[in-house]
Amino acid sequence: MQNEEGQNMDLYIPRKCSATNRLITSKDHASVQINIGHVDENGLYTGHFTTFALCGFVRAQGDADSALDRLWQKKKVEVRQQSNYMQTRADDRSSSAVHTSLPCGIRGNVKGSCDRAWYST
Amino acid sequence: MAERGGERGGFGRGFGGRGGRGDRGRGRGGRRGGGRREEEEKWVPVTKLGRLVKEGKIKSLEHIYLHSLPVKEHQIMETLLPQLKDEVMKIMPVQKQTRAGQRTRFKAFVVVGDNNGHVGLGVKCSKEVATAIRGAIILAKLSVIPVRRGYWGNKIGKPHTVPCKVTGKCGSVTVRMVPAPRGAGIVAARVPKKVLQFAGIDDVFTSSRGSTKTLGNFVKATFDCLLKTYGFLTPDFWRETRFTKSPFQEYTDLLAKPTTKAIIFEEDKLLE
Repeated sequence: MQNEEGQNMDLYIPRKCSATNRLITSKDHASVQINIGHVDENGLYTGHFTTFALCGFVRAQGDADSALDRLWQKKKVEVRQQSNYMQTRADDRSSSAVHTSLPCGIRGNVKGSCDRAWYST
Repeated sequence: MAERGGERGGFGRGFGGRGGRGDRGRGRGGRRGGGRREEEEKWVPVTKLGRLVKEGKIKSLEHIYLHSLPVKEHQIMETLLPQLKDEVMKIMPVQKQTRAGQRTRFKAFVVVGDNNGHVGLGVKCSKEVATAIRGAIILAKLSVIPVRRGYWGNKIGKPHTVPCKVTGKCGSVTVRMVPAPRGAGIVAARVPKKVLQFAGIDDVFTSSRGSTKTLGNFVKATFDCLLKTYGFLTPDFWRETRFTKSPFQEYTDLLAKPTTKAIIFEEDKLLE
């Protein structure tokens, strides 16, 4: 919230759930922020990741899994486009002309209760 | 069974004593012994968040609120909000019937806050009043929430009222807060007025419904109402969130190092 002089008067700007666009309050301890790591065609982590936040409500309803899947499907296309752009930029600098496509894996960073065994907290 | 019936007859005797004990505790507030200082300085954090706060990596409470991290150590709050004041709202004696008469315990309601956007509410029941108050203060510090303040009309100066109409409910009590113009003051009953003062809200109109006589529910309902101020999606929050790393992710290398407790434990093991 900004006052007339343009100063920010809020204590903080809360996060929003990527699936439902609800605000994630300070006491929403069931909410979670998941980082999905980007992986190159050999399956090696590139160091970039995409972040999604899910509010406790969505997780309690049982919709978190499908929501995450849907969000990633949409994001995958953008990531691929961006990586291709970066790759072509790199190609211009180097001499190789290999065009890579990006399969991506999930490497989560979940706090709170774990839904899947391989997530690290 | 016949014996039990005889004991039950004694229940009526307990009523007389209850009225006298109810008023005690109004004047009690924020009394702390000087000898406690040493304990506070020797805080050894147990949780990851505690360690980060002790090291000074987390400088403001808002960082914790942003990631909705649960706070389990009250010293975290004391470090981040040193100017926290507390007030005992009520000491309520509650009784349980046993074979040998009633067992009385005291339930303490404590409200904690800096008068600038942070409030906490703690409820603790214990056999002694002082223990209950102490425990309630700790619980209140753990439950501190940020309170969003806004403007009634022109956005000049600092926010002074709630940003929008919010309502909170606990039990049968619903408390509704409505934005008020500057100078209106806190238009509320004695109990929620205290909580709102601690929150740092200057002007607000309130309306309550239900059995507000039950102070526990009344105070919890106002607290719930204040919690919702940062859960209300106003157009200021429409912009898409830019996620930042959670402090556990950022400082994961620091957290991976063993704490002094672990080192001492290993030394003991070697000695054995």
